[in-house]
Amino acid sequence: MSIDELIRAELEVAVSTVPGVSPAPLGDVERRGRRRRVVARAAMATAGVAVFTAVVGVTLVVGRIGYTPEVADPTVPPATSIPAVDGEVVIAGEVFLVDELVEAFAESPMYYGALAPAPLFDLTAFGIELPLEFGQAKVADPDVLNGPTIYVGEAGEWSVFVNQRPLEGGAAKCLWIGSTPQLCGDSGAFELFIPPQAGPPSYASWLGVPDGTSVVVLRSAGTAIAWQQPVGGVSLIELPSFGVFELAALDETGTELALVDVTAAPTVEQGGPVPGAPTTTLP
Amino acid sequence: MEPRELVTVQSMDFGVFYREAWERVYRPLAVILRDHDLAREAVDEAMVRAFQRWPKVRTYDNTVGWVYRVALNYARNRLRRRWRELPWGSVEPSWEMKTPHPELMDALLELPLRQREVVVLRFLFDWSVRDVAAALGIPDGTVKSRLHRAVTQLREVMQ
Repeated sequence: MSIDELIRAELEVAVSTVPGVSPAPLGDVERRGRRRRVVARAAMATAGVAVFTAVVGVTLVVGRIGYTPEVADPTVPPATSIPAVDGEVVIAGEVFLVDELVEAFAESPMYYGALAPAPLFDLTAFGIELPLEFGQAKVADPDVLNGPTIYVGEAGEWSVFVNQRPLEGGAAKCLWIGSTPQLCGDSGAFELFIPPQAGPPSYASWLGVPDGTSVVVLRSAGTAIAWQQPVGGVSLIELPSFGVFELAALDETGTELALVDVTAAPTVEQGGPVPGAPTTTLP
Repeated sequence: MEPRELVTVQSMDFGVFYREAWERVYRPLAVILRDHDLAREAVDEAMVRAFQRWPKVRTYDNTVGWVYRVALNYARNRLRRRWRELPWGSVEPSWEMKTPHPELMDALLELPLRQREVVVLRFLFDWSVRDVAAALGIPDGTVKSRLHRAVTQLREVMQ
């Protein structure tokens, strides 16, 4: 018997000794899959909160963010169904790829952003994966949303969306945390704080990664420390500390498409220096 | 993977795929991880993700490979989050693994994770070097070199 045959035979026996377990019922798997797509219709409550935008170092009081989520039954389809047309929606004049409808908020249907194409290269040397996890998409006030919305995922206790914001002479696509636009413009990388914590975790966000991006890699001093598959053209990566970082957009083969810097620094309110400006500035 | 099988997966309903593929991924993964509970959790998670993206996932050249890769990545992340090293060497399997040549199996289980992966996929799944490379997201040449090193080491044990 050759060594190859011996290894194969040994592995076959080893596999046969693995304790047999029954897979979860198919219905459970499907239910879990659907549950992640379920939106919580949110109702306004009364708590007030301040949102800090680190890039400008200014505290913006954005109103009442507390809410009481009402979780929809995942087995029941939304009463109002507005399917995406060919998996695409247009926000502020730009086409976004989406997977399906989350829920319709009157004139602001919300969709799941499409996951970026899976990488075809070895990522074991790129640090840990920080996936954008889907949860219950919570919008404190659906009425503030203007037009179609893309649900990106959860950052801490906050839901992150892409929506547009009316501007004089047009509209801009914006990254929203809860019901507040945090980053508006054509595209760009950016460091921001997620309230209400007065310090880390802060997040490096990239609104509108280049076409063909498969993963966004976070680097510190030239060393890759984390990576993420963007959702809906957005990457949002929790930073391990204050400091200067790089974000690199790579395609499926690992070819670098774009590179930007982000600087995470304490806000003025935290007694730190004025935060550094992002490399890619936004209007 | 043979073209015939590819066509079959592409036309498959998720439920059929789930029933056929779950155990095919679970058992080898349990051997690789030496932890059948983690393997089960990882395959369940990978299947949920496959269900969520089924219209796309079903079109992949190697759908089982995709599920395997997602499950392995999930397991790795779980282990990282626990601040644990992958359970090689000093960690015993979570079940009693009796085989005809325990010295060979011990040596195999002590191989570095990257070598063990290619050995299991190549010999147990009987995938081509190309299929293994696609499933792991590494070049063909890397699969060959890891395979060569692993088999050389295992051959020495048996001699």
